[in-house]
Amino acid sequence: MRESKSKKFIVILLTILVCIFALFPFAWMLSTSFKPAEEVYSTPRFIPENPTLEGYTKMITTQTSTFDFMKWAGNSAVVSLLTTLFSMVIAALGGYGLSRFRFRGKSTLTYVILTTQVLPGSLLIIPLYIIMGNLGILDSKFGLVLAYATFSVPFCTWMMKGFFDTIPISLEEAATVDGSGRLRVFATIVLPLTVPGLIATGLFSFITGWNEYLFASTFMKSYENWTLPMGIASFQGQYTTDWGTLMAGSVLITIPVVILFLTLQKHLVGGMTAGAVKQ
Amino acid sequence: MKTKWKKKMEPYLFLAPLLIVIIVFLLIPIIKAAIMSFQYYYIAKPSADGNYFVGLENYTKVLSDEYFYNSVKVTALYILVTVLGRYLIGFGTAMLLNTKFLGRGLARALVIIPWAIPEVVACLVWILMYDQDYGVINYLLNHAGILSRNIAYLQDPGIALPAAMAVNIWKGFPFVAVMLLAGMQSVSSELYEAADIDGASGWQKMRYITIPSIKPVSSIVFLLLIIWTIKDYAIAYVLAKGGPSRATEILTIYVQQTGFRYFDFGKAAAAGMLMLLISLVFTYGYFKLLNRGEAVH
Repeated sequence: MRESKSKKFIVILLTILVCIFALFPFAWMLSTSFKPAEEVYSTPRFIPENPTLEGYTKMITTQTSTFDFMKWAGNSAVVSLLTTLFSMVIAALGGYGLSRFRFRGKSTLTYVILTTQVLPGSLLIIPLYIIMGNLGILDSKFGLVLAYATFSVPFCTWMMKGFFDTIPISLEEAATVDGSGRLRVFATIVLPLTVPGLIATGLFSFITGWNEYLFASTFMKSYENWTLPMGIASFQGQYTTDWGTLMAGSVLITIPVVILFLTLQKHLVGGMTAGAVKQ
Repeated sequence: MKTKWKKKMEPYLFLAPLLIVIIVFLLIPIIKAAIMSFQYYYIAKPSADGNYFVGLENYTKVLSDEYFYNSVKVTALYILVTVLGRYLIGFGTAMLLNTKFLGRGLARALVIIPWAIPEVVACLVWILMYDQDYGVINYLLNHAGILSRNIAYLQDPGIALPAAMAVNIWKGFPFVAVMLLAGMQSVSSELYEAADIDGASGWQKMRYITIPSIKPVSSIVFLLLIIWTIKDYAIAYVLAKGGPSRATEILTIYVQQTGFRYFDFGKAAAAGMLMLLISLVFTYGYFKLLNRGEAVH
């Protein structure tokens, strides 16, 4: 493809504009996180005049009866990792089942899985609140993980099915003739071939657990059970003045996800296109 | 005999955990919500008769509530503008990133950052940037001569909704860009080479090669955007709490607030069921459209 020089110039210029649009809020977050309070409340400047780490130390070390960043970080990590583990195991088994077997009710099950994508969380929280209350798992990390399964498991199953569909069936047939059990064939032959799929589903469910706000803010009453998004959102209402500290906390929450995204994005895109487009 | 039975049960061995999750965490709650929508379930004022059945009362309450209609209108507008906005900017970005130039890899990595930022955190930064007195957006627009006064973006009922839409579009366009780019890259370069030999213009190549080739990805992206936006909650809520004057109260916020702020679980369940109905009708229509499109090709 030959492209004229001026055309290439326009492409690069537009790309730079898009990148600025995409990055500016993140850059502004970083910049504000190093500003002392009086600089936030004056003419906006991109480079802080007197940069300080005070926001970070305050965010991490402050412990009051309603504020404990490190505790929330621990909760978020536990909830996200358990959601990931739970979703990956069920999605890998279920996706394989949907991809390989013919059985009664298969099309119904497929339709149900697709439909779960449409279920609004704000509808689900109403019955879940009552049911979880009866089971005594309201305001517990375990209960929150189960609630996250409602949207993470069906989506991950669908992605995994897409991945299994791309693996030739002949590989397994050879092994099954040998007399190996199906579960064993699945674990030793098929699963290792779908590592990209597992990474995609894992990333998706981890981020779901890390970022989710509606369920967490409805189910988690006591502050010591909060996750990071709730904690940081509560900070904005209470201490509107301290933007430097608030942005420092925001940077700390964002960095792990951005790193995960940048290193694993190829797999996520592969997973979404494989699962979503091939029906 | 035994092995035959074992073979027959095999699919269910793999599917059992999935089925349990779907039944316990999705079907039972949905059935429960459907039942609740016909019951007296006003938590703030529990009745001595328990949660007795009230017929269609919860539904009539919702359907005679002007705020319900307001939230339907706000949701429709919110979906229309943000889905189109994300799609168009995402498509443009994918076209740019599909061209070869120095630094393209870096640009691709940078562009996806809004997608990676947690919603709540993204909203907090935008609240700061939207600030009337010290926000950088007012500062820049005033200096560029576009504005002559400071705007209170999130406190002005006429501006809060577009302001929330802007955040949604900013956060969501990278997803579209990345998905469409993946679709564009799977188009064989021979097609473009052949078009070059025939002397096709850039516009013609886009119209007759790129757009038809990415149609399957495009359709799915559109569908996902719409159903994700119907369920969207955090952006409108954290930015403006549904306000000011309910200007940003999308359906999800209406349902959640009816339940957990006014404690009328029956009415909230009824509103939620109506919301589900709207999205199901929509999804069904969309699937139909998709199938028809496939039949033509």
